Amino acid sequence: MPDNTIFNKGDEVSRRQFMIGAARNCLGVSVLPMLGSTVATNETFAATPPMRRGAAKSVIFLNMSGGMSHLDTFDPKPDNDEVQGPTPVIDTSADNVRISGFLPKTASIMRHVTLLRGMQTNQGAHEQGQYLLHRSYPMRGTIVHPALGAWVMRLSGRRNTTIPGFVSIGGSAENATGGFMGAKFGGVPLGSANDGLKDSKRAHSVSESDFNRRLQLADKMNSTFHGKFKQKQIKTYHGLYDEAIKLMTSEDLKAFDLNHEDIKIRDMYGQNGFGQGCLLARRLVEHHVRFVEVSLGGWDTHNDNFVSVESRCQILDSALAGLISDLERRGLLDTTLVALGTEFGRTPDINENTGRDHFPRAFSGLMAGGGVKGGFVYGETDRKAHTVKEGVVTPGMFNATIGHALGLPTERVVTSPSGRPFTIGDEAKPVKEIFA
Amino acid sequence: MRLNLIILSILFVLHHNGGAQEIDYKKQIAPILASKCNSCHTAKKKESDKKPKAGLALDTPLGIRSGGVLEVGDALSSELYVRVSLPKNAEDLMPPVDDGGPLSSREIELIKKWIDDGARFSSSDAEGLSKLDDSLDARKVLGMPVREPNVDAISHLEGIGATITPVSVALPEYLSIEWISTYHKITDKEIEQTLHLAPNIVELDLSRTKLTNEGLKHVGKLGRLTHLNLSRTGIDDNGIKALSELKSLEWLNLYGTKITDASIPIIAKYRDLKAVYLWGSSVSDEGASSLRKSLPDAKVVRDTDARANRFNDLDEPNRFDF
Repeated sequence: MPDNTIFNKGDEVSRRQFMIGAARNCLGVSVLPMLGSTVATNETFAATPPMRRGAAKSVIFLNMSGGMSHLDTFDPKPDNDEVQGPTPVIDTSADNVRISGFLPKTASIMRHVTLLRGMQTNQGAHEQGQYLLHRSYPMRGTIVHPALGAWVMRLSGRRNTTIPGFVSIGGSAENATGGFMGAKFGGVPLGSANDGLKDSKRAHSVSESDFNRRLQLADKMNSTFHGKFKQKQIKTYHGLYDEAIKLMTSEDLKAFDLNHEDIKIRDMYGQNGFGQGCLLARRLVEHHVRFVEVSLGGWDTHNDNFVSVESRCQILDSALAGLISDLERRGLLDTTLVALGTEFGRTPDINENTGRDHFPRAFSGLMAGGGVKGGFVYGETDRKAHTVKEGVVTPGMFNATIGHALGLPTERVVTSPSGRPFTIGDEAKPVKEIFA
Repeated sequence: MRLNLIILSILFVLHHNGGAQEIDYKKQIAPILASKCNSCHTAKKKESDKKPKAGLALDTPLGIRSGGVLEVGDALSSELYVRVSLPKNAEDLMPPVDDGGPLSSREIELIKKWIDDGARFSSSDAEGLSKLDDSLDARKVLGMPVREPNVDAISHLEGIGATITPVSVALPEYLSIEWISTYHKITDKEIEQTLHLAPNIVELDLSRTKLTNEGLKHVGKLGRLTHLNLSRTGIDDNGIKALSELKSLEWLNLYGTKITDASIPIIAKYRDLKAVYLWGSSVSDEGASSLRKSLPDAKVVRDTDARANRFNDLDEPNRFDF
């Protein structure tokens, strides 16, 4: 992480800490520390309507961190042993679509999936690659670009205004940044799916009636004060109370608690961080959270590629197949886009450590649900999985496509505080061919 | 905290500002928008497929509210005010100088005060709601013209916890109604109130509400419904009978309900149906198969792909719980 990000965020952190302290002292509650990023929002109305009817309402973004090997997952080359190595290849529920044998459960849900086999990036290092994937813009020293989830918040707002609209599970906190848009569009980073939201219960030392009385008092003082001084900063403090109170009394808080899930369902997703993260993502989407990211690391397979990728795939396979089929049977897949991305692929040539190295010029991603075609492949690499022959998709196009799926105005320009214009996909166009 | 002390001390010194004259949206704001803004920012399509400029329709209350330009109670944070109050040479000024901008200072002041006062579209929220028509039925609703939804009815429904959104920017008169974080409190009584917007409602989400068979009689009158979500409610075959007139249904979610094969003949009559969800209901394999035969183009979801592919660890849950 570059040093400058810490300094850029200096104001944000201290303000957030101040607000948390204010709520604790004033109301006798501790407000979830990680929730500071959402408390500044003040949305009276529900989300902006989509640009077209039938657009997706939520996105689950699966971030394969470390650089997922395309050959050993979604773009195998069974006729070319030289690059394929020992990874087996299997048929799927989609005609003429074959994927890695490490993903047998995923094979059963391929009829819901569009594979993107022409992914391409210009970043060959992890941090820069992840940055571009999440934000559509290359890393610069002078500005912090907002993450995709922040763009979604900015362009359309939250649907459920009692809980955060953007949640990032298990990855770097950077994935949830609001960047130059400010903390109010940023997401809530959750370390682990099993922890849920912390500090969102009323302290035992404060009785319910005491709590309500304090609220009423705070309310009364505030409304008089606000009537007199309509300053934005003061409103922000008011927003803090509203949000914290809503959360503590909200039925929606249950969305964060995986103990409400049947053990069979928990097993189906896989009893590991990523699997449970995907299950949490489904619960959040059921509660109308707009953007959920779940990260799975460990794809940086310079050594022992085939052993490592197989073990990553076991985790991915149960979680992805479980997620898609669970969304489908609940009727949620029509309105939920599941997108899987990674910062780059891995070399078709196998190195001396039976590993694969970084490979930005050709790799794979996928999208499912949210109006995209099922059993469809967009883009193709050559017989060595070395060069994209057709259907290039850059990170900017990938993000613009997610925006299009949600019915967002993808060409809308948002200006940074320094006056520079930005769009959700760095002016890239969405790939409309993948929509049914 | 130091700031709290400051706030407190200021509070004790100052008095609340007395109520000034409230701005009337229909008489004072709508005419400004109509004459200066709506030639571009309109939901009424002139040519086929034309969208309002910047996806923002300023000619209907819903368009204004859902366009992302309004921060209620705070004009300085509302694009609707900020953009019209810019200096004449500013690039982002609305309306542009070529299109009759800027507004007069009085007009700008009216917009500011209206937003600061809460951007109300009707003077009194529940007032002016017509009595529910007892003779309403699906066919009657279909015969009604589709026009701008009643603002009072929208305020009223939002007041009882509904989330109301136009289905798209270009279709502000067609509404989707959901109960997003209020579902656990919603009973047949609240659901009946949706009838005030009957000609406008095309999508209705009643998932996890306290809806009963009795409440489904109201739903059965919403003749324009294309999307209906009844999942995880207490309804059964007796209730489904009340929906037989909903001929436009394209998407029906019945997962986690008690319906059985007895409801299949009614569902089979929805000729436009594209998807129906039956997982966790009491519909049998045979029931689902017969529905697939009657509606060959519809997706009938009862089982998971994984189960169909014999992954036995992808199993049915013992209970539904949130």
